Amino acid sequence: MRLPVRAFSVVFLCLAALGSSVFAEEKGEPQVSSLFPLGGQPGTSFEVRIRGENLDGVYGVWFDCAALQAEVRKIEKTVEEVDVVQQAGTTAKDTKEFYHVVLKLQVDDKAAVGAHTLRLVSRQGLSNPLSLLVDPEPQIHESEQSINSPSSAQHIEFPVVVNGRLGHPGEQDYYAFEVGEGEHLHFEVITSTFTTATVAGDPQLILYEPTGSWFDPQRIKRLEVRDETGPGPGTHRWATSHFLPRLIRRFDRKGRYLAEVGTLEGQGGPDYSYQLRVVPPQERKSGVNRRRSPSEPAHGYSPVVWREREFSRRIDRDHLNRLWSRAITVPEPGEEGQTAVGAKDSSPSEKADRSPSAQETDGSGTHRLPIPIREEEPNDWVTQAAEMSIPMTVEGAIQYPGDVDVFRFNVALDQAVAFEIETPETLPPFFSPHLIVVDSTGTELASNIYREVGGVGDDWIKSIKAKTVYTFERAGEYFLQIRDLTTRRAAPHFRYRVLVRPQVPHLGEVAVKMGRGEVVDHINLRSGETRKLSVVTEPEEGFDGEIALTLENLPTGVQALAAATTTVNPRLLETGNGRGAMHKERFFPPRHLATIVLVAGRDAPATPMPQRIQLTARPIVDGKIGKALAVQEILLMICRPETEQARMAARN
Amino acid sequence: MKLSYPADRELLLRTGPKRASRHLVKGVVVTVLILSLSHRDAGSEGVRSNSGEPELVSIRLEPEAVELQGSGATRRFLVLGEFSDGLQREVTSASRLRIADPSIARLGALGHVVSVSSGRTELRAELGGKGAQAEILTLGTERRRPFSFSWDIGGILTKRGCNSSSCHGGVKGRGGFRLSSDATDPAEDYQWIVRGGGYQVLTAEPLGPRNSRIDLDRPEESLLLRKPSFRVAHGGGERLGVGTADYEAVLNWVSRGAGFEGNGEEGLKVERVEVFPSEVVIEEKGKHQLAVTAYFSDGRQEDITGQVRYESLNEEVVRVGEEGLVEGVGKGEAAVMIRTAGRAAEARFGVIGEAIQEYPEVPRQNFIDEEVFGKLRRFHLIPSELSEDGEFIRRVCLDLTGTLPPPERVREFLGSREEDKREKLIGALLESPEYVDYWTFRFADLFRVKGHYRWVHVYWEWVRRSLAGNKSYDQMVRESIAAQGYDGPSRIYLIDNNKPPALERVVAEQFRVFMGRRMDCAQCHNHPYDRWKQDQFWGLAAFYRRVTNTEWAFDNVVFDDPDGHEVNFGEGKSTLSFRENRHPRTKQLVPPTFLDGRVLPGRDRRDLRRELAAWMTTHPYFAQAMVNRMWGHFFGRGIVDPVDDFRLGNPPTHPSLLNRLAVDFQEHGYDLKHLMRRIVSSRTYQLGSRPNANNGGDRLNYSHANPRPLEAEVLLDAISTVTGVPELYKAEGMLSGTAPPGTRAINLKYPASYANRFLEVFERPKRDVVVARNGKVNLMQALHMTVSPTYNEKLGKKGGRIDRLLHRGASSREIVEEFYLAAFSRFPNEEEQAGLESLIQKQSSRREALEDLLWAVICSREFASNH
Repeated sequence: MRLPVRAFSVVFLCLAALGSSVFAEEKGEPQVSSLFPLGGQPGTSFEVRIRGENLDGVYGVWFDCAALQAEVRKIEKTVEEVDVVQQAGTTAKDTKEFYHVVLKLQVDDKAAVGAHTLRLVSRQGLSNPLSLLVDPEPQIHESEQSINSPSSAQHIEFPVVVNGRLGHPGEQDYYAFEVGEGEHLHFEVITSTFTTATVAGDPQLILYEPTGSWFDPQRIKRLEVRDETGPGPGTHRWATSHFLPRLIRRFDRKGRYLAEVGTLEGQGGPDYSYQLRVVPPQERKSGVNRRRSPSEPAHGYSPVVWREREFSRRIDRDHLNRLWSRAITVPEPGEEGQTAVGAKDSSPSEKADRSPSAQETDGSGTHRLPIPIREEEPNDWVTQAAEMSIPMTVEGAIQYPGDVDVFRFNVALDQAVAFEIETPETLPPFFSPHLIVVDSTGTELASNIYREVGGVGDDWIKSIKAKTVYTFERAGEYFLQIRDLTTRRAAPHFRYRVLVRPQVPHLGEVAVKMGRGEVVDHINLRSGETRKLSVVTEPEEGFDGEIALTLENLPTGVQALAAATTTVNPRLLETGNGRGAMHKERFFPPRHLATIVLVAGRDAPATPMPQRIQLTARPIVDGKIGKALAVQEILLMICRPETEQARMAARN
Repeated sequence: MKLSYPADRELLLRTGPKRASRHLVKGVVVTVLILSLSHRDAGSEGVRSNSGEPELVSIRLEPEAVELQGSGATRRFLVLGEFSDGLQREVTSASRLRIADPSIARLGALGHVVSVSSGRTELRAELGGKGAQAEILTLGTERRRPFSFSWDIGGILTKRGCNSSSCHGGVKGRGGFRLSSDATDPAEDYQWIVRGGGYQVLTAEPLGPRNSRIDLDRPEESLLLRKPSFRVAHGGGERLGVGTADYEAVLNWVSRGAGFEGNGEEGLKVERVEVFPSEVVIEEKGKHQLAVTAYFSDGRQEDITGQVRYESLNEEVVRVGEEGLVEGVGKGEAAVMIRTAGRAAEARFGVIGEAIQEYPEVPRQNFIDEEVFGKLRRFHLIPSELSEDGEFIRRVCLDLTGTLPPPERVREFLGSREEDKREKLIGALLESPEYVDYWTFRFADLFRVKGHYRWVHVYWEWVRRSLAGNKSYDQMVRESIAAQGYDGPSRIYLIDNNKPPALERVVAEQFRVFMGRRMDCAQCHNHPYDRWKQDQFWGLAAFYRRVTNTEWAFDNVVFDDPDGHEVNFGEGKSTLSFRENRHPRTKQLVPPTFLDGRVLPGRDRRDLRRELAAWMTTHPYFAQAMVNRMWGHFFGRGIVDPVDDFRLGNPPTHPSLLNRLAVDFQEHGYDLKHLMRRIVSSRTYQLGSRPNANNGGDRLNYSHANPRPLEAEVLLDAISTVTGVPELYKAEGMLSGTAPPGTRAINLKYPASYANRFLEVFERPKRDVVVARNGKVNLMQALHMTVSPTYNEKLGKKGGRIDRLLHRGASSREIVEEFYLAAFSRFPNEEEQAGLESLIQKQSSRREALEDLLWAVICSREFASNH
């Protein structure tokens, strides 16, 4: 659709997290809310329109990789009517200034397929991020003519990615296409709900056959399909609450069909952009099959480097190496191996289990895991359980309803073990792996279900976790059961990878956070200004040493100073709800807080483009310091906002 | 329903001349429409009557043959006379009865036959020169029936009303003495009488001392005798007179030691109780004796006509005496309930005015017509004529698709001379996308599609997908009951606060929706008016005990956990504990148990709800409940009504039809389309709504179609269709969405999605509880018709029907015709056409006149109902 000239009526979500900058609440910082189109093809250049606030001073664009470049072509201002949701839940009318920045964007033909991060740069600083999707399929735009009814549907040929926009609440766009008999097509809709938290409304995709009906010859008949609509993982806090329609349809009859793009609740507005991808399944080069989430970064840029409690993280043979790299190791007396230190009251048996002697070591002395064991059916019962040693990765799938895969392992007295599970193809809630450790009498000792009090009132709520730790009080034989939570759901793609290993005291996630725990990904700092940064650290698996933090690659005139503080945001230290938490220590590491103050000298020169600064952490135990770990990258801009006088002068 | 229209003087004064004038015009137009409709209602079809006294044509004995086993076995015979007016009358008391061989059997005082010795004989009856005989075979007369506390004492307590739900059979009993309702739990009754008790809702143990109701040393002083004989004060008055047979029976039982079973013989059970006749027609002030027979497990029969408790369910139609003599009081239909120890039966009476001797032949399409017209014939009711084509097309379109037929389709149908055009139409409608729309809406009610907006969509999609694919109903229900995971049907377990509902709630709801029975009362105590026991309730609840869910981000997975769901933290629980399925009184854990008391074996307990779903969807109740619900949809009244209230005191009007429909549904794989096609193809469904002179008072026997109010959503869609102006639905609050233009009310997925004043006023259910649309008219609706935007602003809207017709230059005649076709699916008759054209002509503004006319059309009863 064409961008409407008249005033928009949109709901401005007061509660929405508008980016994750420590600057967020100050006026003047550029805020972007959407872009159109959502992406493009490698080797092309095209115009992109970005909408947001405080964009009048935009002069540049920052990308996460060099394969994308853009120049600012035009900036337009509009005054729009908005509905503001008030505290009482009512809405009130107001007007607001919005800006539209038009970019000429060049995508190098070597650009990686996937989501790239884009930010606008202005004299007021760096904007919050938007995702730009790079896809190999040919891209077209929604027609300039109205395509809001079946009779005015836009004809498309596949493979194709259509960039469109639902400019008004209740708007639906129709696309017509021809298929042959028995042809399969893959459909997917991605919307701007993935790129920014300010856009609300789950997309909906419906296919129709223009068969007519007895009542109305023009009526289109909805094709009932079982799609895979479900929550899509994303980079921002609310992303998991958005749905991603995707489906594969076999067309029994040759002919013309329609695809309707809308939203579940009829939302829409100037920020609501979407991409409709229609490709033959065998030609899918992008989309959900190539990467698990459209918002998964293609370039590898991520503000937080380390995550170890997500189902989507990789548990490969180097997983243990990565853990060890975040630990302090000392040579084991009389042996060539190493032992992780830092846990309180490490028992001799623990130390023994942590020694690399129990692990395969490669020629370089690293801790590569053995080749995973693949489950072999039947293994539903303890009598059929395959033997595994620790550490060991087991791989398998919940292939039929009620399938339970059982493995046998032995532990020493007081052995502290970590259980980690990855679901490489299907994430919860579609495949919800349930991991249970039982003893030889069948008594459950541990599982990956965590309970706490929450929800509505005082209900217990429970969730499954990707990692849990447990210390065995008795040496002996135990069994690991893996199944789906339900007794019905099963599929070849319900694949799991479970790592059972000794606990390794190490540094977990370390990140600068704010508010309710949002990771700070950029900082706009004015010359002469100071900024307090709260660094949240998570020592994992009993690590009880110190963590040395440094900020590196600071711009000229900027200093980072360690600080003590009397004001701590308690939310930053919260893990789980707290009330009634069951075995919280098995599912959450403790959290600690450090404070760093950034100081920009009065003479600190403005940075025309953001500078990547690195937060590094070093574990310290008993005076021994480990190697520096790059734990987070933050984009820093030193700004010298224009004075009103200078701005007027510039305009004249 | 009379149209509520405030065309009075007060309104005239308050609204000012211009507005009042418009209202006056509307009033006149409505009057024309109402008169027109009244005229249509005034059917003139008559029935022939016989002015002379009917003559006895023949008599017969009922039963015609019996086999009496055991000494003292009894059986009641009735003499039935066929009369010249076509009626059959019970004439036993006027007849002369005698036994051919009194050494084999003797005749009791009340006309019942008692076996004396083994052999064969005949019972002969004579009346007015007519004769009849019945064969009697007596066997095993050396065997006496053993005493049974359950039957003999329980029967007396039931007959005398001691254990009725209003007396000691109430939930807590009365006066410190409790009996099971109608002796449904004789073992417990025995304990109460012999050992004493003290009922507590929350415990099976009495809190006070036990007081036995019998005195073995001085049997006559037993409280069980002193109270009901009123020798001491008794709130229930005298129930057992000293010296009566029942008094002596109880006294004899106590004197002999008050055993539970006599002579150590156990296992003799009453297998069934039958009443004759089960359905009969009598005249006003006519009488008919009932004969009630108990059949025992050893083959013995006993006449218990005088030993049961009778109750007329409608005393304005029939009254019944203590000995089972029924008298017609006023025209209509009513059931008589017969209650005895642990058993109940019913007899249905039709009370008619005048018998019809020459009943017309009525064509029949399928077994529905056989059943319905068969009963109409027996009840001397003549069905109305077949509906007119216009009436039929509107009715079937609304019933199958919730959509008014467009005028061009109506013209086409009315003009068609094809003999099978109705069948073809039914087929087209069943395959239309509008069918899927409408039944998704209806089943979304049934399955209570509501809840968190994020996942209500997948639930709705599941309902829609199921109907679009014509998934068998039993499969749908199995998927719902046994749902796990993240799929649509699993959301049923999360619609209340995102967590599994309380066990008692889910049992009561699913049993009511899928089995058509209400067990709610049995949650706390044995059902006072029905057969359901608390044990049964909690036996079913055990199947749901394991249901629980995880919350992963915003997305929940429903699954079964052997531990079950957690007890709320705030309910005095500071540590983790799980819901248990404990019997509220006994405090015992109740295992998964089916209604018949069969406990699910341990080896089958891996997937409890799947077992329950399999059992439930193959139980005879299941098919009955659905066909009855569907029948209720198409006829406005269930064969059992309310449609989900099957119980002893609410018998079906057409039990045989109900069973045949259920069997047919089952035999056709629970195919909903088949069921609907079966119903709407019947002549019964296609009868006209105009009553004839004979059947005007009939509300139970489907002798003519009864108008039914349109559902709120369907009515709103119909208004939008007729005015040509779609409704706009806008969400409020955070979601701030707008339904796409042209969205119909029946396509809104759940009630909370878009607020709409019209739908609220017309009582769109919120689906917080099992949905029951009563369609009752309220004052708000009448006011809404007068002042709401839906009824007023749509009329003159640009692009609407009137606007388009005027723009096209249509004549008043064409416009009136179009309004009628669009709204009523018929052409206006000459009177309507002329009257309305004339009214339009008289108005200074033609547009306003048309708006007034259309307003009157959409406010009319003919429009707002399906008839």
